[in-house]
Amino acid sequence: MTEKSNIDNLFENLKDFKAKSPSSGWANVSEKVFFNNIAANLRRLTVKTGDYLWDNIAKKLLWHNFLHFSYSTFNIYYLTAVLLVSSLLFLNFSGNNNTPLLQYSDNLMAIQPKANQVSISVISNDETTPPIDNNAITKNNLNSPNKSKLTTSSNTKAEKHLLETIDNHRNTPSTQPTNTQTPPVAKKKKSLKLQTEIKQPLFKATPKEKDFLVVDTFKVFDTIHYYDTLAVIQKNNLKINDIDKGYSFNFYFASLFGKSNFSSIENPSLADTNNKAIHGAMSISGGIDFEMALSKKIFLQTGIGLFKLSEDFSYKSTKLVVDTNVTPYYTSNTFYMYMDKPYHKTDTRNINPVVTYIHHSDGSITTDTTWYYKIDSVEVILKDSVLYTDKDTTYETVYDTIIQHYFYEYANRYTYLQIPLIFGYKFGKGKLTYTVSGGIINEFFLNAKGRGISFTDAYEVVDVGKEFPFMKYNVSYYLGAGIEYKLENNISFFAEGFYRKNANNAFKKNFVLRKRFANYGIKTGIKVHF
Amino acid sequence: MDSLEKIIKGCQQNKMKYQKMLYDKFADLMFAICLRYAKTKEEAEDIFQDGFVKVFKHIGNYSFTGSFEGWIRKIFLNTAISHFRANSKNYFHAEYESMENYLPPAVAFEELKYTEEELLSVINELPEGYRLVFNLYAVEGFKHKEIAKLLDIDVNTSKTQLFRARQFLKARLIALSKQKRIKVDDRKK
Repeated sequence: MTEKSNIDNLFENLKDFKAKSPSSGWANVSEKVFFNNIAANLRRLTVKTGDYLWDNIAKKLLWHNFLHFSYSTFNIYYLTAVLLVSSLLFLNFSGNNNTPLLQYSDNLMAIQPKANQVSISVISNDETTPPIDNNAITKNNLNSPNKSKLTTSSNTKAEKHLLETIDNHRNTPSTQPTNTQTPPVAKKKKSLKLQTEIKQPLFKATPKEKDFLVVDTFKVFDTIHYYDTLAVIQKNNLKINDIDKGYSFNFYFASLFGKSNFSSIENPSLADTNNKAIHGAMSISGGIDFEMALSKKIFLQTGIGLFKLSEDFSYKSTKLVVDTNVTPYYTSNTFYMYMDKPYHKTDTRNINPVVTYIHHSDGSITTDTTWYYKIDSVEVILKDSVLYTDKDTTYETVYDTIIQHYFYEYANRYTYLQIPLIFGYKFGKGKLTYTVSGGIINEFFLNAKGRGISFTDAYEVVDVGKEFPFMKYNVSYYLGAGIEYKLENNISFFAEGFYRKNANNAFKKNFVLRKRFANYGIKTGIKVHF
Repeated sequence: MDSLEKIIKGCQQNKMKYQKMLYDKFADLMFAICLRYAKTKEEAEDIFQDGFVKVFKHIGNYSFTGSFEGWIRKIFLNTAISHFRANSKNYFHAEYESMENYLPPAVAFEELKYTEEELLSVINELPEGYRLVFNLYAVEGFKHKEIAKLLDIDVNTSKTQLFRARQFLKARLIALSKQKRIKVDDRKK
């Protein structure tokens, strides 16, 4: 007890003990407090924003919403559907055989079949209409209305229908006067009326047919201008083939290049690691497209193809594997009885690591690091008796740490079935024409092979086909520009440079990674017209 | 006033009305975050716009678990980091020598008062790497290990950047304080 009191008294003296604080102590404390206050203020700091920022964001959102499918907003998919339906309706009505090519007025009188041309002159059959000077008309490549039935060889339905209609019309009895002896004064007066009447539409032509209508004027009696509408149907002419034979099958093969990066809101570092591991590789696609001309210059392509998207996966990771082997060995000395209240004395010693490099036949290197710990436990019992125990136990623990280097190299392949829907514009004349095109490609996921980095263990890789939830259906934008060279009458070679990019995320919504594949490519092929 | 949950659900259905409401609710707070990470107001506006577009793009992923403010803040933070990754190179390697001039004397900071605008302007003066690490550590409360992982740098680099950022800020704030005192003295005279 005495001993305890003394010790307590000794430390009681420390109660009022003061030590001089470091000179910079308060400065350091206040600095920390100050920065903490700054941080707290900054964390809740608000700054008024300008309205124009919302306008910019709203514009970006509108554009984003337009490019992504949603049931509730008008977007590119709806637009494409509308365009497609409109095109089909247009093709349906314009291609109807029951629809007359030309709706003639009763004014049709003269027909000129000449070689590969059919000329139609239109003159009012009103009795007040001045007679036609056949000679004058002949000068302008028009024939007499009494000319025999047309015999022009016509192959296309359009030509046949046109000529039949004209023949039928000519065979109907006409009340038109044949007297050509009208006095010149009267001619002039009445011809003015004629000119007015002719301004009315004499027939209605579809936009496709309008491309072939040429309106010109010619003079009758040297004073009056008549309007002459020529329906020109030329055979074996490239332009005609483009329209009347405006269908083709395009057989193509394309090589694509480019690298697409992953992104992730939830785990950007995983996206970065994957991006470092994945490198662009050449992808391919091939298939057959059906092309139809919507007008002289505009065409629509659709078809079916296979798109094999490729990426190279090359990833190197270093993993620590700790293999702990404990090899105890035990040495006992004499055991004594009457043991009570023992205590342990532990002495631990570190032994420096031993690093061994192991070269493998496949070129990889593993490092084997070995640490030794020796634990020397001494159990001692000291009692005021003659009996004592001294037990010396020695454990030798060996920690064997292996650094494993992994090299993963795979060729990732993602296969899609693709159905394009592409509108194009054609320009240029002759054998060489130029095209620009744009549209969408519907992609249906078929399979994926390859590797990606594991989401849970950055040292491991996973099978993308099993672990990455690919969207079953994607849409890509397509933009292209190319050339077409006519090899034969119905065979062309074409080449097109293009860019395509996913409009949507290639993976399902809840997946941690996002990616839109984007590629540049060159497409070449043969176009067979029919 | 609609509840936050209703606004978020409206945004998830891509309704512009609710997007604007969400914007109004968080714009000022998020813009302040952008200003802290950006060097200029223009940069902050870029980050701000990109951040909100990302928020609306991915708001469908928000599952109403956890704080929405934390979620949106994280998106802005990642947007800011991505922005610097894209626009800056080697921003973690500012010359140490240049910092020597900024080493400040030990001063008791309780005497100094600064407005929030002054604090923001001083933070904006920080070199990019310092600013990023300081914001992440001091304001957002990240640990050095987390910062290192987030920015793909070494833990020690993060610590060094923070140390230098603090030295820089101290020096600038003391200088600012002196300027303010001189102005006050001039007015008294």
